[in-house]
Amino acid sequence: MIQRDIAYRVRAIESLSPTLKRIVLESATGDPLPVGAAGAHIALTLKCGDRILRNSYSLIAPSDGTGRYELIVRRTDPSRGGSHFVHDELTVGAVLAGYVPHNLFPSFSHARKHLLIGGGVGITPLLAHLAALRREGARVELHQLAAAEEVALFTQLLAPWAGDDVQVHGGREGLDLEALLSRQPLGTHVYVCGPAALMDRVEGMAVALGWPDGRIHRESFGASGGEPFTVRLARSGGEVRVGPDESMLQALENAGVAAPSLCRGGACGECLTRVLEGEPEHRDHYLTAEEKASGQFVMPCVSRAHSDMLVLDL
Amino acid sequence: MIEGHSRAIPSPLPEETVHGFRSASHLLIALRRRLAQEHMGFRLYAAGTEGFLWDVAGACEAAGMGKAEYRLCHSGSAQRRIFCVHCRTMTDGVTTNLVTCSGCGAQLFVRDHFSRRLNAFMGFQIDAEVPGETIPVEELYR
Repeated sequence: MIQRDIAYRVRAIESLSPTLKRIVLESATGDPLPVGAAGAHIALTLKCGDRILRNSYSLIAPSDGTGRYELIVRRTDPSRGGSHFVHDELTVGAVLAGYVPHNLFPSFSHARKHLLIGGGVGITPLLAHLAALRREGARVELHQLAAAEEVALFTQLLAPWAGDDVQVHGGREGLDLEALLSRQPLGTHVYVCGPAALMDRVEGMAVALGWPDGRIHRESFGASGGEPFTVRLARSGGEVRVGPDESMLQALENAGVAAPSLCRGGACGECLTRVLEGEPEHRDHYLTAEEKASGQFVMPCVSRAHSDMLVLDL
Repeated sequence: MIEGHSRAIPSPLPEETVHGFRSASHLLIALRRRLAQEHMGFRLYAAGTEGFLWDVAGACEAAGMGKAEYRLCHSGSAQRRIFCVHCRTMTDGVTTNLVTCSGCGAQLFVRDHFSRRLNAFMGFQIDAEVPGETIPVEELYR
């Protein structure tokens, strides 16, 4: 049985900007850390006051044999609490529970070219990909979209790989996405990580230009908020209220319901749950269009409900 | 479009979007050069005999395209290209269940086992296990 839980100790914290911190983790027990390949993320359990959050963070460097995982965490406003905890309360030496790395955003070795597109802090898994792909000698091009005041910061983060094929663009209109996607050679794979609107735009544009399905890859840590609703548990009885700023999965966990989960981003399929009544609002990338339309399943980690009540087979 | 012989030079077809070629080999050389310049979103559709189709598919894969990006449609003869598993020689234009290998001269049984990599059907010596034991020759792949 592969060990899934790991105790991490905070080895270093570096402030990159008022809202961005680089966190370096090592094993708290001295056991070697498993390899975290480019694109992998770890889930950390964060105790924020009386709430327990499990947040996923991408590794920003491939961790083969370094014994360390590096993350960058953005302080968001409004926050579900996790980023405020990391920014305001986490100290060097603190021990955090978490999972071993999982990779739902890998690169594809048979690609002729890798096109990386990042938005804001979505750059994190792309930093790891850029390092790994450059080391392999693969053909790679990176475009980072940033707010005007953060262009210098991201340029500095990308400085080790500076070149014509690594560019930081200020503002939403800084990059002509259609021109970029139109000039890619056959065999290109595109990887996008950032706000959902950016990922939707890249995916929509690529599909419209005729890119086939398997060539478009997106990281899937989505926003979880929305209209509040109630979950009724058909098997165990009881009801759980899902607030506007928490995910269905978090609400279930906080209520003590043993709900399976892994990526917490709607990608892996681990939290698949049968819906008995009510209309799910699907936000995952796991279910097929037909499964979503059937209304029989829901991924509680990211999805919500169109109806006031959702009855789950839990 | 394969026109054959010297009719293709210069292109006998008036439209610039239709190019004539002397042979499939001639077309495939131009195709590989063209695919190296193409961009994502490109689609290719090929029609022809099986050997030609899989040569085209090979050029597409070599250029980085995936199965979703090219379509193949068989038309014309069903004759087979046979790969001799003993001497590795290809024998083209086979229409019968048994064929003499153009390399080692063995009487090959034409199997339905097709290799996309080699673009050929497998052929093995019909009497490899019991010398002299064979079957009647039939024309099956016209």
